[in-house]
Amino acid sequence: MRKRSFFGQYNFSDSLLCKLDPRVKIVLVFSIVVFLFFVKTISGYMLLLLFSIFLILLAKSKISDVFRSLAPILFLLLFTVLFQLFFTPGKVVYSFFFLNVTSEGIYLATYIAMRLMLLSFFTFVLTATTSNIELTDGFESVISPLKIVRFPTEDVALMISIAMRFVPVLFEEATRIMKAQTSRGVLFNKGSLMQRARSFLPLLLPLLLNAFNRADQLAIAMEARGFVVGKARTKYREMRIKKIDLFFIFLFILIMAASIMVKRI
Amino acid sequence: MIHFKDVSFAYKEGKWAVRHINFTVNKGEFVSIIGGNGSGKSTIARLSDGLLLPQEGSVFVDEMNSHAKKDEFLIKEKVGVVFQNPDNQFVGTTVEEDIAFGLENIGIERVEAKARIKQISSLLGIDKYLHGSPSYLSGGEKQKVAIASVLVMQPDYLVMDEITALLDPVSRKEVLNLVHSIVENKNIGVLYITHITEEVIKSDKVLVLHKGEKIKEGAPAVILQDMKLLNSAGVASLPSVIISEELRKHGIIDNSFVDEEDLVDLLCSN
Repeated sequence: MRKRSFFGQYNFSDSLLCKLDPRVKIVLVFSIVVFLFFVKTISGYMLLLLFSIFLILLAKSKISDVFRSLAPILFLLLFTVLFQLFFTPGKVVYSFFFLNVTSEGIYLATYIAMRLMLLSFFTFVLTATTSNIELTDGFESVISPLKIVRFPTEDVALMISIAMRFVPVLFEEATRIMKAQTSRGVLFNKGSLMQRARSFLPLLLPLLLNAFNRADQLAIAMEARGFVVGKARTKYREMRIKKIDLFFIFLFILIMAASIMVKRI
Repeated sequence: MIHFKDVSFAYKEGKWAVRHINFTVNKGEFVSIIGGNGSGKSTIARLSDGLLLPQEGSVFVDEMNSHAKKDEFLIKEKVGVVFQNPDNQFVGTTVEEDIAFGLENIGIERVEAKARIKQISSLLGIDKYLHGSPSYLSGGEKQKVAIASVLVMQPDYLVMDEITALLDPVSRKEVLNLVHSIVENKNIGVLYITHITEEVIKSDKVLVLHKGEKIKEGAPAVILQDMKLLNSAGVASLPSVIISEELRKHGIIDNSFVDEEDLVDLLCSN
Protein backbone atom coordinates (compact mmCIF):
# COMPACT_ATOMS: atom_id res chain seq x y z
CA MET A 1 0.00 0.00 0.00
CA ARG A 2 2.76 2.38 0.93
CA LYS A 3 4.75 4.04 -1.82
CA ARG A 4 7.97 5.95 -1.64
CA SER A 5 7.42 9.50 -0.50
CA PHE A 6 8.34 12.31 -2.87
CA PHE A 7 8.98 14.70 -0.04
CA GLY A 8 11.65 13.70 2.46
CA GLN A 9 12.18 10.04 3.09
CA TYR A 10 10.14 9.37 6.21
CA ASN A 11 10.74 5.78 7.08
CA PHE A 12 8.20 4.52 9.61
CA SER A 13 10.20 2.26 11.95
CA ASP A 14 10.65 1.46 15.60
CA SER A 15 13.97 3.31 15.72
CA LEU A 16 14.84 5.33 18.79
CA LEU A 17 14.96 8.55 16.77
CA CYS A 18 11.40 8.01 15.50
CA LYS A 19 10.25 8.08 19.12
CA LEU A 20 11.83 11.45 19.91
CA ASP A 21 9.65 14.51 20.31
CA PRO A 22 9.51 16.31 16.93
CA ARG A 23 10.10 19.70 18.59
CA VAL A 24 13.35 18.41 20.09
CA LYS A 25 14.47 17.01 16.74
CA ILE A 26 13.68 20.23 14.88
CA VAL A 27 15.48 22.44 17.42
CA LEU A 28 18.50 20.11 17.63
CA VAL A 29 18.91 19.76 13.86
CA PHE A 30 18.42 23.50 13.33
CA SER A 31 20.99 24.23 16.07
CA ILE A 32 23.58 21.84 14.68
CA VAL A 33 23.09 23.16 11.13
CA VAL A 34 23.73 26.72 12.35
CA PHE A 35 26.59 25.44 14.48
CA LEU A 36 28.29 23.94 11.38
CA PHE A 37 29.33 27.46 10.39
CA PHE A 38 31.25 27.93 13.62
CA VAL A 39 33.39 24.79 13.40
CA LYS A 40 36.87 25.77 12.22
CA THR A 41 38.77 22.46 12.14
CA ILE A 42 38.70 19.41 9.90
CA SER A 43 38.81 17.19 13.00
CA GLY A 44 35.72 18.99 14.29
CA TYR A 45 33.94 18.24 11.01
CA MET A 46 35.13 14.61 11.11
CA LEU A 47 33.65 14.25 14.58
CA LEU A 48 30.33 15.67 13.35
CA LEU A 49 30.47 13.36 10.30
CA LEU A 50 30.92 10.33 12.56
CA PHE A 51 28.06 11.57 14.72
CA SER A 52 25.79 12.02 11.69
CA ILE A 53 26.62 8.46 10.52
CA PHE A 54 25.84 7.19 14.01
CA LEU A 55 22.44 8.94 13.83
CA ILE A 56 21.77 7.56 10.34
CA LEU A 57 22.44 4.03 11.57
CA LEU A 58 20.33 4.66 14.65
CA ALA A 59 17.50 5.82 12.36
CA LYS A 60 17.72 2.39 10.62
CA SER A 61 18.19 4.14 7.28
CA LYS A 62 20.11 2.83 4.30
CA ILE A 63 23.39 4.57 3.45
CA SER A 64 22.36 4.46 -0.23
CA ASP A 65 19.28 6.55 0.63
CA VAL A 66 21.53 9.09 2.39
CA PHE A 67 23.67 9.52 -0.71
CA ARG A 68 20.53 9.74 -2.84
CA SER A 69 19.48 12.65 -0.63
CA LEU A 70 22.62 14.46 -1.79
CA ALA A 71 21.45 14.37 -5.43
CA PRO A 72 19.49 17.65 -5.35
CA ILE A 73 22.49 19.55 -4.01
CA LEU A 74 25.14 17.71 -6.01
CA PHE A 75 25.46 20.45 -8.64
CA LEU A 76 25.66 23.17 -5.98
CA LEU A 77 28.20 21.08 -4.05
CA LEU A 78 30.44 20.47 -7.07
CA PHE A 79 30.21 24.03 -8.33
CA THR A 80 31.06 25.54 -4.92
CA VAL A 81 33.90 23.10 -4.26
CA LEU A 82 35.48 23.60 -7.71
CA PHE A 83 35.06 27.36 -7.48
CA GLN A 84 36.78 27.50 -4.10
CA LEU A 85 39.46 25.04 -5.22
CA PHE A 86 40.52 26.97 -8.31
CA PHE A 87 39.74 30.58 -7.53
CA THR A 88 40.92 31.07 -3.93
CA PRO A 89 44.11 33.13 -3.86
CA GLY A 90 47.04 31.84 -1.79
CA LYS A 91 50.03 29.54 -1.91
CA VAL A 92 49.91 27.60 -5.20
CA VAL A 93 50.37 23.85 -4.80
CA TYR A 94 49.36 22.73 -8.30
CA SER A 95 48.86 24.45 -11.66
CA PHE A 96 46.71 23.34 -14.57
CA PHE A 97 46.72 25.74 -17.55
CA PHE A 98 45.34 29.01 -16.14
CA LEU A 99 43.85 27.30 -13.05
CA ASN A 100 45.80 27.35 -9.80
CA VAL A 101 45.03 25.10 -6.86
CA THR A 102 46.06 26.78 -3.63
CA SER A 103 46.42 25.33 -0.14
CA GLU A 104 43.86 27.87 1.11
CA GLY A 105 41.53 26.75 -1.72
CA ILE A 106 41.87 23.12 -0.65
CA TYR A 107 41.00 24.06 2.95
CA LEU A 108 37.99 26.18 1.93
CA ALA A 109 36.69 23.61 -0.57
CA THR A 110 36.95 20.87 2.06
CA TYR A 111 35.17 23.01 4.68
CA ILE A 112 32.35 23.91 2.32
CA ALA A 113 31.95 20.34 1.07
CA MET A 114 31.84 19.07 4.67
CA ARG A 115 29.32 21.74 5.69
CA LEU A 116 26.96 21.01 2.79
CA MET A 117 27.27 17.26 3.25
CA LEU A 118 26.65 17.45 6.99
CA LEU A 119 23.74 19.84 6.45
CA SER A 120 22.23 17.29 4.10
CA PHE A 121 22.95 14.34 6.45
CA PHE A 122 21.40 15.96 9.53
CA THR A 123 18.29 17.11 7.67
CA PHE A 124 18.06 13.61 6.21
CA VAL A 125 17.99 12.19 9.75
CA LEU A 126 15.22 14.64 10.66
CA THR A 127 13.01 13.84 7.65
CA ALA A 128 13.72 10.09 7.80
CA THR A 129 12.58 9.85 11.40
CA THR A 130 9.75 12.41 11.49
CA SER A 131 6.50 12.17 9.58
CA ASN A 132 5.18 15.24 7.78
CA ILE A 133 2.44 15.70 10.32
CA GLU A 134 4.93 15.46 13.22
CA LEU A 135 7.16 17.98 11.46
CA THR A 136 4.21 20.33 11.06
CA ASP A 137 3.13 19.94 14.68
CA GLY A 138 6.67 20.39 15.88
CA PHE A 139 7.15 23.44 13.70
CA GLU A 140 3.88 24.92 14.93
CA SER A 141 4.95 24.42 18.52
CA VAL A 142 8.42 25.84 17.91
CA ILE A 143 7.03 29.02 16.34
CA SER A 144 4.16 29.28 18.85
CA PRO A 145 5.80 32.18 20.77
CA LEU A 146 5.03 34.27 17.66
CA LYS A 147 1.37 34.13 18.69
CA ILE A 148 2.21 37.02 21.01
CA VAL A 149 2.57 39.23 17.94
CA ARG A 150 -0.66 37.69 16.53
CA PHE A 151 1.16 35.56 13.97
CA PRO A 152 -1.28 32.81 12.84
CA THR A 153 1.01 29.88 13.77
CA GLU A 154 -1.73 27.20 13.59
CA ASP A 155 -2.90 28.31 10.16
CA VAL A 156 0.65 28.47 8.83
CA ALA A 157 1.37 24.98 10.18
CA LEU A 158 -1.85 23.63 8.63
CA MET A 159 -0.94 25.29 5.34
CA ILE A 160 2.46 23.58 5.34
CA SER A 161 0.87 20.24 6.23
CA ILE A 162 -1.61 20.48 3.34
CA ALA A 163 1.12 21.58 0.93
CA MET A 164 3.15 18.52 1.94
CA ARG A 165 0.16 16.25 1.43
CA PHE A 166 -0.43 17.61 -2.05
CA VAL A 167 3.18 17.20 -3.25
CA PRO A 168 2.78 13.51 -4.26
CA VAL A 169 -0.70 14.22 -5.68
CA LEU A 170 0.67 17.01 -7.90
CA PHE A 171 3.61 14.83 -8.97
CA GLU A 172 1.20 12.10 -10.03
CA GLU A 173 -0.95 14.63 -11.83
CA ALA A 174 2.07 16.11 -13.64
CA THR A 175 3.09 12.61 -14.77
CA ARG A 176 -0.45 11.95 -16.01
CA ILE A 177 -0.62 15.24 -17.92
CA MET A 178 2.84 14.65 -19.41
CA LYS A 179 1.76 11.23 -20.69
CA ALA A 180 -1.46 12.67 -22.10
CA GLN A 181 0.38 15.52 -23.84
CA THR A 182 3.11 13.20 -25.12
CA SER A 183 0.42 11.01 -26.72
CA ARG A 184 -0.80 14.17 -28.47
CA GLY A 185 2.61 14.87 -29.92
CA VAL A 186 4.25 17.20 -27.38
CA LEU A 187 7.99 16.51 -27.14
CA PHE A 188 9.29 17.45 -23.71
CA ASN A 189 12.94 16.50 -24.19
CA LYS A 190 13.72 17.41 -27.78
CA GLY A 191 14.72 20.59 -29.54
CA SER A 192 16.59 23.67 -28.39
CA LEU A 193 16.45 25.03 -24.85
CA MET A 194 13.81 27.55 -25.92
CA GLN A 195 11.71 24.86 -27.61
CA ARG A 196 11.96 22.64 -24.56
CA ALA A 197 10.93 25.48 -22.27
CA ARG A 198 7.97 26.23 -24.54
CA SER A 199 6.94 22.56 -24.61
CA PHE A 200 6.39 22.71 -20.84
CA LEU A 201 3.50 25.15 -21.26
CA PRO A 202 1.00 22.36 -22.11
CA LEU A 203 2.07 20.73 -18.85
CA LEU A 204 2.09 23.77 -16.59
CA LEU A 205 -1.21 25.31 -17.65
CA PRO A 206 -3.45 22.29 -16.94
CA LEU A 207 -1.41 21.51 -13.83
CA LEU A 208 -1.97 25.02 -12.46
CA LEU A 209 -5.66 25.02 -13.37
CA ASN A 210 -6.14 21.64 -11.70
CA ALA A 211 -4.23 22.82 -8.64
CA PHE A 212 -6.50 25.86 -8.28
CA ASN A 213 -9.55 23.64 -8.73
CA ARG A 214 -8.27 21.21 -6.08
CA ALA A 215 -7.52 24.07 -3.69
CA ASP A 216 -11.06 25.38 -4.15
CA GLN A 217 -12.63 21.98 -3.50
CA LEU A 218 -10.37 21.36 -0.51
CA ALA A 219 -11.34 24.71 1.00
CA ILE A 220 -15.03 23.80 0.64
CA ALA A 221 -14.47 20.34 2.17
CA MET A 222 -12.52 21.86 5.08
CA GLU A 223 -15.25 24.41 5.73
CA ALA A 224 -17.86 21.64 5.60
CA ARG A 225 -15.91 19.85 8.33
CA GLY A 226 -16.09 22.84 10.63
CA PHE A 227 -12.79 24.54 9.88
CA VAL A 228 -12.84 28.27 10.50
CA VAL A 229 -9.68 30.36 10.02
CA GLY A 230 -8.43 31.64 13.35
CA LYS A 231 -10.85 29.57 15.45
CA ALA A 232 -9.31 27.59 18.32
CA ARG A 233 -8.99 23.86 17.65
CA THR A 234 -8.20 20.94 19.92
CA LYS A 235 -5.05 18.89 19.28
CA TYR A 236 -5.35 15.23 18.39
CA ARG A 237 -1.63 14.49 18.49
CA GLU A 238 0.20 14.47 21.76
CA MET A 239 3.72 15.84 22.17
CA ARG A 240 5.60 15.14 25.38
CA ILE A 241 9.27 15.57 26.19
CA LYS A 242 10.61 12.31 27.66
CA LYS A 243 13.87 11.22 29.27
CA ILE A 244 15.20 10.01 25.94
CA ASP A 245 14.67 13.52 24.51
CA LEU A 246 16.70 15.00 27.35
CA PHE A 247 19.45 12.43 26.72
CA PHE A 248 19.69 13.46 23.06
CA ILE A 249 19.73 17.16 23.95
CA PHE A 250 22.68 16.42 26.25
CA LEU A 251 24.38 14.29 23.56
CA PHE A 252 24.04 17.01 20.91
CA ILE A 253 25.46 19.66 23.27
CA LEU A 254 28.33 17.34 24.13
CA ILE A 255 29.16 16.63 20.47
CA MET A 256 28.93 20.30 19.51
CA ALA A 257 31.23 21.30 22.38
CA ALA A 258 33.69 18.52 21.51
CA SER A 259 33.79 19.51 17.82
CA ILE A 260 34.71 23.06 18.81
CA MET A 261 37.33 22.02 21.34
CA VAL A 262 38.94 19.25 19.32
CA LYS A 263 42.58 20.04 18.41
CA ARG A 264 43.08 21.89 15.14
CA ILE A 265 44.88 19.82 12.49
CA MET B 1 -35.17 18.43 9.80
CA ILE B 2 -33.46 20.02 6.78
CA HIS B 3 -36.05 22.24 5.17
CA PHE B 4 -35.61 23.93 1.79
CA LYS B 5 -38.25 26.63 1.59
CA ASP B 6 -38.67 28.11 -1.89
CA VAL B 7 -34.90 28.23 -2.35
CA SER B 8 -33.27 29.87 -5.37
CA PHE B 9 -29.57 30.36 -5.95
CA ALA B 10 -27.50 31.83 -8.79
CA TYR B 11 -23.70 31.82 -9.17
CA LYS B 12 -24.05 34.59 -11.74
CA GLU B 13 -26.74 37.21 -11.64
CA GLY B 14 -29.79 36.20 -13.66
CA LYS B 15 -28.57 32.62 -14.24
CA TRP B 16 -30.33 30.48 -11.65
CA ALA B 17 -28.53 27.29 -10.67
CA VAL B 18 -31.55 26.20 -8.61
CA ARG B 19 -34.99 27.78 -8.66
CA HIS B 20 -37.92 27.57 -6.20
CA ILE B 21 -36.78 24.38 -4.51
CA ASN B 22 -38.94 22.96 -1.72
CA PHE B 23 -38.36 19.72 0.17
CA THR B 24 -37.61 18.32 3.61
CA VAL B 25 -35.30 15.66 5.00
CA ASN B 26 -36.30 14.28 8.40
CA LYS B 27 -34.04 12.43 10.82
CA GLY B 28 -33.87 8.77 9.87
CA GLU B 29 -35.18 9.51 6.38
CA PHE B 30 -33.24 8.66 3.19
CA VAL B 31 -34.01 11.23 0.51
CA SER B 32 -32.41 11.01 -2.93
CA ILE B 33 -32.00 13.67 -5.55
CA ILE B 34 -31.51 12.52 -9.11
CA GLY B 35 -30.73 14.59 -12.16
CA GLY B 36 -28.36 15.02 -15.07
CA ASN B 37 -25.36 17.32 -15.44
CA GLY B 38 -26.09 20.96 -14.64
CA SER B 39 -29.37 20.15 -12.91
CA GLY B 40 -28.29 21.89 -9.68
CA LYS B 41 -27.64 18.78 -7.57
CA SER B 42 -24.27 19.88 -6.17
CA THR B 43 -25.59 23.39 -5.51
CA ILE B 44 -28.29 21.85 -3.30
CA ALA B 45 -25.60 19.88 -1.44
CA ARG B 46 -23.70 23.09 -0.71
CA LEU B 47 -26.83 25.00 0.23
CA SER B 48 -27.86 22.33 2.73
CA ASP B 49 -25.06 23.00 5.22
CA GLY B 50 -24.57 26.71 4.65
CA LEU B 51 -21.57 26.49 2.32
CA LEU B 52 -23.74 28.55 -0.03
CA LEU B 53 -26.53 30.86 1.05
CA PRO B 54 -29.72 31.16 -1.02
CA GLN B 55 -30.47 34.49 -2.70
CA GLU B 56 -34.17 33.76 -2.40
CA GLY B 57 -35.98 31.58 0.12
CA SER B 58 -34.38 29.92 3.14
CA VAL B 59 -32.69 26.72 4.23
CA PHE B 60 -33.50 25.59 7.77
CA VAL B 61 -31.63 22.95 9.73
CA ASP B 62 -33.57 22.03 12.87
CA GLU B 63 -35.24 25.46 12.78
CA MET B 64 -31.88 27.26 12.36
CA ASN B 65 -31.76 29.48 9.31
CA SER B 66 -28.53 29.14 7.30
CA HIS B 67 -28.57 32.93 6.85
CA ALA B 68 -28.16 33.47 10.61
CA LYS B 69 -24.47 34.12 11.27
CA LYS B 70 -24.72 32.87 14.86
CA ASP B 71 -25.87 29.39 13.75
CA GLU B 72 -23.34 29.02 10.93
CA PHE B 73 -20.97 26.75 12.87
CA LEU B 74 -23.77 24.74 14.55
CA ILE B 75 -25.34 23.96 11.16
CA LYS B 76 -22.00 22.63 9.91
CA GLU B 77 -21.78 20.42 12.98
CA LYS B 78 -25.27 19.06 12.39
CA VAL B 79 -24.92 18.53 8.63
CA GLY B 80 -21.98 16.51 7.32
CA VAL B 81 -21.17 16.65 3.62
CA VAL B 82 -19.26 14.04 1.60
CA PHE B 83 -18.19 15.16 -1.86
CA GLN B 84 -17.55 13.35 -5.12
CA ASN B 85 -13.75 13.28 -5.21
CA PRO B 86 -12.20 12.06 -1.95
CA ASP B 87 -8.70 13.09 -3.09
CA ASN B 88 -9.77 16.72 -2.88
CA GLN B 89 -11.11 16.34 0.66
CA PHE B 90 -8.14 14.86 2.47
CA VAL B 91 -6.34 17.19 4.84
CA GLY B 92 -4.27 14.79 6.94
CA THR B 93 -1.17 12.95 5.80
CA THR B 94 -2.46 9.73 7.38
CA VAL B 95 -5.98 8.31 7.44
CA GLU B 96 -6.09 8.75 11.23
CA GLU B 97 -5.05 12.41 11.01
CA ASP B 98 -7.60 13.03 8.32
CA ILE B 99 -10.46 11.54 10.31
CA ALA B 100 -9.31 13.55 13.34
CA PHE B 101 -9.37 16.87 11.44
CA GLY B 102 -13.10 17.49 11.83
CA LEU B 103 -12.99 16.47 15.50
CA GLU B 104 -10.22 19.00 16.16
CA ASN B 105 -12.35 21.68 14.51
CA ILE B 106 -15.37 21.02 16.72
CA GLY B 107 -13.29 20.88 19.89
CA ILE B 108 -13.34 17.15 20.72
CA GLU B 109 -10.60 16.21 23.19
CA ARG B 110 -7.96 13.59 22.41
CA VAL B 111 -9.33 10.68 24.48
CA GLU B 112 -12.82 10.92 23.04
CA ALA B 113 -11.45 11.56 19.55
CA LYS B 114 -9.35 8.39 19.72
CA ALA B 115 -12.35 6.33 20.82
CA ARG B 116 -14.55 7.77 18.08
CA ILE B 117 -11.91 7.17 15.38
CA LYS B 118 -11.41 3.59 16.54
CA GLN B 119 -15.14 2.92 16.46
CA ILE B 120 -15.87 4.52 13.09
CA SER B 121 -12.83 3.03 11.35
CA SER B 122 -13.71 -0.50 12.44
CA LEU B 123 -17.34 0.08 11.44
CA LEU B 124 -16.26 1.08 7.93
CA GLY B 125 -13.50 -1.54 7.75
CA ILE B 126 -10.66 0.94 7.32
CA ASP B 127 -8.95 0.41 10.70
CA LYS B 128 -6.00 -1.34 9.05
CA TYR B 129 -5.23 1.78 7.02
CA LEU B 130 -5.23 4.27 9.90
CA HIS B 131 -1.47 4.88 9.87
CA GLY B 132 -1.09 4.92 6.08
CA SER B 133 -1.48 7.76 3.63
CA PRO B 134 -5.01 8.17 2.20
CA SER B 135 -3.49 9.03 -1.19
CA TYR B 136 -2.45 5.43 -1.80
CA LEU B 137 -5.78 3.72 -1.08
CA SER B 138 -8.16 2.39 -3.74
CA GLY B 139 -11.08 4.57 -4.85
CA GLY B 140 -13.61 2.71 -2.67
CA GLU B 141 -11.37 2.81 0.38
CA LYS B 142 -10.70 6.54 -0.14
CA GLN B 143 -14.43 7.21 -0.22
CA LYS B 144 -14.88 5.16 2.97
CA VAL B 145 -12.25 7.38 4.64
CA ALA B 146 -14.10 10.48 3.43
CA ILE B 147 -17.37 9.10 4.84
CA ALA B 148 -15.66 8.18 8.12
CA SER B 149 -14.20 11.70 8.38
CA VAL B 150 -17.71 13.10 8.32
CA LEU B 151 -19.53 10.40 10.33
CA VAL B 152 -16.99 10.65 13.15
CA MET B 153 -18.33 14.15 13.85
CA GLN B 154 -21.68 12.47 14.64
CA PRO B 155 -23.84 14.67 12.42
CA ASP B 156 -27.64 14.51 12.53
CA TYR B 157 -27.81 14.77 8.74
CA LEU B 158 -25.54 13.46 6.04
CA VAL B 159 -25.39 14.97 2.56
CA MET B 160 -23.65 12.82 -0.05
CA ASP B 161 -22.88 14.48 -3.34
CA GLU B 162 -22.31 11.85 -6.05
CA ILE B 163 -19.99 9.88 -3.78
CA THR B 164 -19.92 6.86 -6.07
CA ALA B 165 -19.42 8.73 -9.35
CA LEU B 166 -15.70 7.88 -9.57
CA LEU B 167 -16.01 4.27 -8.41
CA ASP B 168 -16.20 1.00 -10.32
CA PRO B 169 -19.55 -0.89 -10.11
CA VAL B 170 -18.34 -3.29 -7.39
CA SER B 171 -16.96 -0.53 -5.13
CA ARG B 172 -20.06 1.56 -5.83
CA LYS B 173 -22.34 -1.20 -4.60
CA GLU B 174 -20.14 -1.83 -1.57
CA VAL B 175 -20.04 1.85 -0.55
CA LEU B 176 -23.78 2.28 -1.08
CA ASN B 177 -24.66 -0.83 0.97
CA LEU B 178 -22.35 0.39 3.70
CA VAL B 179 -24.03 3.80 3.74
CA HIS B 180 -27.49 2.22 4.01
CA SER B 181 -26.45 -0.13 6.82
CA ILE B 182 -24.81 2.67 8.82
CA VAL B 183 -27.54 5.27 8.53
CA GLU B 184 -30.28 2.74 9.32
CA ASN B 185 -28.69 2.13 12.72
CA LYS B 186 -27.87 5.75 13.53
CA ASN B 187 -31.13 7.61 12.88
CA ILE B 188 -29.37 10.02 10.52
CA GLY B 189 -31.27 11.96 7.89
CA VAL B 190 -29.64 11.41 4.49
CA LEU B 191 -29.71 13.56 1.38
CA TYR B 192 -28.24 11.34 -1.30
CA ILE B 193 -27.37 13.04 -4.58
CA THR B 194 -26.70 10.99 -7.68
CA HIS B 195 -27.22 10.60 -11.40
CA ILE B 196 -27.26 6.80 -11.19
CA THR B 197 -30.84 5.53 -11.12
CA GLU B 198 -30.07 2.19 -9.43
CA GLU B 199 -28.81 3.99 -6.36
CA VAL B 200 -32.13 5.58 -5.42
CA ILE B 201 -34.20 2.36 -5.29
CA LYS B 202 -33.89 1.99 -1.49
CA SER B 203 -34.69 5.65 -0.76
CA ASP B 204 -37.75 6.80 1.17
CA LYS B 205 -38.31 9.65 -1.25
CA VAL B 206 -36.87 10.74 -4.62
CA LEU B 207 -36.64 14.24 -6.07
CA VAL B 208 -36.03 14.67 -9.78
CA LEU B 209 -34.17 17.80 -10.82
CA HIS B 210 -33.89 19.31 -14.26
CA LYS B 211 -32.20 22.60 -15.12
CA GLY B 212 -32.30 23.73 -11.50
CA GLU B 213 -35.97 22.97 -10.93
CA LYS B 214 -37.67 20.15 -9.08
CA ILE B 215 -39.84 18.45 -11.67
CA LYS B 216 -41.13 15.60 -9.53
CA GLU B 217 -41.04 14.27 -5.98
CA GLY B 218 -42.31 10.89 -4.88
CA ALA B 219 -41.71 7.32 -3.85
CA PRO B 220 -38.93 5.52 -5.81
CA ALA B 221 -41.39 2.90 -7.13
CA VAL B 222 -43.43 5.64 -8.78
CA ILE B 223 -40.57 7.84 -10.00
CA LEU B 224 -38.44 5.03 -11.40
CA GLN B 225 -41.27 3.61 -13.50
CA ASP B 226 -41.74 6.92 -15.25
CA MET B 227 -39.24 6.51 -18.12
CA LYS B 228 -40.40 9.66 -19.87
CA LEU B 229 -39.76 11.74 -16.74
CA LEU B 230 -36.30 10.26 -16.23
CA ASN B 231 -35.36 10.75 -19.87
CA SER B 232 -36.43 14.38 -19.73
CA ALA B 233 -34.27 14.81 -16.62
CA GLY B 234 -31.27 13.39 -18.47
CA VAL B 235 -30.89 10.18 -16.46
CA ALA B 236 -31.11 6.60 -17.62
CA SER B 237 -34.06 4.40 -16.74
CA LEU B 238 -33.55 1.13 -14.91
CA PRO B 239 -32.93 -1.87 -17.20
CA SER B 240 -35.65 -3.78 -15.32
CA VAL B 241 -38.18 -1.03 -16.08
CA ILE B 242 -37.13 -0.81 -19.76
CA ILE B 243 -37.44 -4.59 -20.25
CA SER B 244 -40.70 -4.96 -18.32
CA GLU B 245 -42.18 -2.01 -20.21
CA GLU B 246 -41.37 -3.70 -23.53
CA LEU B 247 -42.85 -6.96 -22.26
CA ARG B 248 -45.94 -5.11 -21.11
CA LYS B 249 -46.36 -3.51 -24.54
CA HIS B 250 -46.27 -7.00 -26.07
CA GLY B 251 -48.86 -8.23 -23.60
CA ILE B 252 -46.49 -10.68 -21.95
CA ILE B 253 -46.76 -9.13 -18.47
CA ASP B 254 -49.18 -6.67 -16.90
CA ASN B 255 -46.92 -4.41 -14.83
CA SER B 256 -43.64 -2.58 -14.92
CA PHE B 257 -40.98 -3.70 -12.43
CA VAL B 258 -38.40 -1.62 -10.61
CA ASP B 259 -36.83 -4.56 -8.82
CA GLU B 260 -35.12 -6.83 -11.36
CA GLU B 261 -35.45 -9.83 -9.06
CA ASP B 262 -39.24 -9.46 -9.03
CA LEU B 263 -39.21 -9.37 -12.82
CA VAL B 264 -36.99 -12.46 -13.04
CA ASP B 265 -39.18 -14.30 -10.54
CA LEU B 266 -42.32 -13.50 -12.55
CA LEU B 267 -40.78 -14.51 -15.87
CA CYS B 268 -39.42 -17.74 -14.42
CA SER B 269 -42.73 -18.63 -12.77
CA ASN B 270 -44.52 -18.08 -16.09
